[in-house]
Amino acid sequence: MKGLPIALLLFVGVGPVVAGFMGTVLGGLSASAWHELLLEPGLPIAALLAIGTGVVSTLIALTLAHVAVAVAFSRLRHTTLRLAALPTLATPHVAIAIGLVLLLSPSGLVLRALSPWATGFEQPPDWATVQDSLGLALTLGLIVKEVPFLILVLLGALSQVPASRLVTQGRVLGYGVFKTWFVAVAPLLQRQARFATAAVLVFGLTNVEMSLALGPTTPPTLSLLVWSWFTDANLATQSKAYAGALLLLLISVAVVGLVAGMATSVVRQRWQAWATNGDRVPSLNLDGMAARNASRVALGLGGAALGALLIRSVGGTWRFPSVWPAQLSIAAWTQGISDMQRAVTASVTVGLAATVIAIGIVLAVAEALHDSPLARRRLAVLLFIPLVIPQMAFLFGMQTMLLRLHLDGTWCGVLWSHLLFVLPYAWVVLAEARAQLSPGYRIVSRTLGAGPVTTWVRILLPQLLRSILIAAGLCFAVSMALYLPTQFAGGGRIVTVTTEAAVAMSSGDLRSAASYGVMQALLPLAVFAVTAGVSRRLFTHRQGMPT
Amino acid sequence: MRSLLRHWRTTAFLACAALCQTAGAAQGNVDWAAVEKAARGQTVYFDAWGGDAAINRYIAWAGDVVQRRYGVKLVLVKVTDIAEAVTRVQAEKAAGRTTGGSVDLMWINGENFASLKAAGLLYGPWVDSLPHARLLDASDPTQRTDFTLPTAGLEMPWGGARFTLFYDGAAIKTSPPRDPQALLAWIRAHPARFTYPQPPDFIGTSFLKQMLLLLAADAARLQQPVSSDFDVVTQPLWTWLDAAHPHLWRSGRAFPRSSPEQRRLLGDGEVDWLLAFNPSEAARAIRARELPDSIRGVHFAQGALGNSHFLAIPFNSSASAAARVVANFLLSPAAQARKSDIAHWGDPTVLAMAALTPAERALFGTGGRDAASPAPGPLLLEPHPSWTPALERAWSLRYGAR
Repeated sequence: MKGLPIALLLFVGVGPVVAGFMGTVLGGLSASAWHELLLEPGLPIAALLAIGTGVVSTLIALTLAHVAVAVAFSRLRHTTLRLAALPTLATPHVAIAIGLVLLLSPSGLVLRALSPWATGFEQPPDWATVQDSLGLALTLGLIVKEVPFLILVLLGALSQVPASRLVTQGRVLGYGVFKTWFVAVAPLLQRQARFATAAVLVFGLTNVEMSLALGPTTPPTLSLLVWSWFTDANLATQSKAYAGALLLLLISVAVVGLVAGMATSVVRQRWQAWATNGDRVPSLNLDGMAARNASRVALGLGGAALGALLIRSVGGTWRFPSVWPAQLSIAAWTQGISDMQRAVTASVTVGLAATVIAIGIVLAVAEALHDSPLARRRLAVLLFIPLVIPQMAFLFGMQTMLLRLHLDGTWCGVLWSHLLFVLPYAWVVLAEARAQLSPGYRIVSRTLGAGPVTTWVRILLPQLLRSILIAAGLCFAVSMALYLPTQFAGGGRIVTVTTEAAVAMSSGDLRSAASYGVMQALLPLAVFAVTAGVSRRLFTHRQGMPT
Repeated sequence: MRSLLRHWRTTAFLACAALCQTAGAAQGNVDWAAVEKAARGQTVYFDAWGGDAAINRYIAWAGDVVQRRYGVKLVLVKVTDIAEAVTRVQAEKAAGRTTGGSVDLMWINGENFASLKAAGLLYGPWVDSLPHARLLDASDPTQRTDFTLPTAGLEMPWGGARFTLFYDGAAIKTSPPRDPQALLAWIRAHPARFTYPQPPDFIGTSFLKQMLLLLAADAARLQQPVSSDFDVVTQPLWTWLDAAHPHLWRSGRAFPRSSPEQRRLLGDGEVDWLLAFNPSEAARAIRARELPDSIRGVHFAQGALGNSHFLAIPFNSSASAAARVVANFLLSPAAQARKSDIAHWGDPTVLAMAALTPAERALFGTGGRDAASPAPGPLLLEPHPSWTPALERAWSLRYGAR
């Protein structure tokens, strides 16, 4: 009986990845394909770009997230930080990227606001402030998008770390807030967040949607190259694409392995030396730290990008250097209303279904495995595969699988592809939350004669409710943002707000792209607002409930 | 070169007439009423480039009409490049799906048609059996040959296209450059104000072909497939691009991804030029408030690269009857007139005005030209499709990775 939910979880969450991965390997194992691939002009630069932007953005985002969490903890401002992180977290990558283009490009809002009075520019300067050849804009975009995600992951992990006790001990021993936090608390938090960090790193290395808007074009990042080969009508280019997807996988595994190796060797030694050197430097004060302001800027840029989207979606002709469009026009909203309705319906139905199914399956498995930490850890590794290997490495193969099952281009096919990415997030939030519940409640309830179902519904479920609500918001936001999986499984027939935004973006129709981007942000925010409201209502008069 | 500089209205009529006869005879008489009966209740998944809101709205309008009139449901499947749909049809063939394919109607031309035709993945011939096929302009050489390949009734002409350059009349007040050397001189004198979409974008590659047709020593050579003389034939193009690139927008290190993206750059004032295949592009965009009304269009004096774009039905479509009904509707004078209206799309019609009744002709308006569209000029025919991937690859080797 216990095995049934676990088998279901593996079938739904891991099966397609394995099948898809096999398909990619079979497609990419040809000498001529690799020969073609290695002859591709600019391949080394494209690979270096992917590695550089992915690694740098992850390291900076991780640092900023830790600092933000440390500051919030020292001032008991978790809720404020969580709220500040939400808008950008809820806004999918495509929308943030488009918003940043509207903000930072030479004809973007920032330079418009400064021109011509401060800069003297009557025409936009020929500056590569986006799509620069070093990938700096892409790195910035990834940081802006990943800082809020990592903040939420770290905040979530706080409950599993005795942070208050450690901080008090550190302070009693005479260490400053900063050193106490980074020596005693941060390593424990990071241990909890290691899968999430790996997911961020791999996404940075292999994403398509952000480099489409912000990345360089001559050459683009490796992932964009591979993506363009997959959509080429020429069959010879297709096998090159499979080989490219495998190369992307190899690079990801190597980089993640290298970073993990460094973290457990060099970095750990340095950290331990720092922890035990006895220095108590009070001047290392959190208040004065540039990093703290940097994390504010990162969160602020996300919000500003959203604002830029909103303005552009209602702007008509808009010559530089006017700060405001010459005419306002709601044409992008009204003319596309039927398309918008179709896309919103698909996004919401798939998102809600994926959320409910994922939470249901995970709760059942978490119940079955609540006292087997080893099994939970092993399962977590399996579930995280879709997040820590490049999406392209298995999505193409998975498309073939759906084709054979006659599920391609169907709502169910898209739902399944979304579950692959939603399940691990549901697992992260709920499996640990269930395992942390004190076993006493269950034992007492059973002793008093309640059956297992009654015990779960009356005693355990209320304690899990807050985690379930958090998981629901997160799962919906994840589903909302998925681009490549929707594109592959939906084959263009199932259209979501995110695929519409990407189509409009890739063809340069910024007005439509902006209107879809705004919608992309609003839907998950609405779900977050609902879950937060429910949570507040339910728990206002209950003390000591697990958070 | 001279051989290509014929006025397009009078070109190649004889060759086409011969093709028409054979194709028409092969398709015989189809009972159209039976086709419409079979179409009722079917759903047509129409894969088309979905990057332009105006075009999407036009297709949505057509969908409403065919639903009302023929009981056919038309679903637009937006793709960023129609090659995605070609890939899907190929994947379905590989997976053994010979019926119930995911694509019923697709908007293609050029190398995508060539690869589908070569692999036998197209339904038909079907075009000449359409009631409205007799209205097609038989004198237009781009309608019966697609990038030099005979269409053989496997794809239906839907719209015409002439490669057009648009410039900002507020920035360029004298007469605009109309040949490669004058354009190069302008680019040098105005750094960072000219650019083109990055090949393999459709418009970007078309720009390469347009320039090559103007610059090549023997442009007639381009009508034959690519062979070992590629480097010799294309050398003048690379010389021109090498001279121009340092003075382009972003010094030629970055390019817009598409023509609509360049339209945004022009609208925001980042560049002074826009390249497009639709001569009415600017007129429509001005109406839609996407561009200021100072934009003007121009063709190269030697001639504009011209082609038609087509509709085709994949071999495994289960709704081929409904797809033909939709195609026939899109060819009707009413649908073609609405398509050529800049209030909706502004895409040139493929119908012969002489074949229409006076009432039908009246649908197309007075024929007066708007200020933003160039006067029709000479036509340059598309090169053989094998030049497209060859040019794209050579471009990416030279400029794609710096």
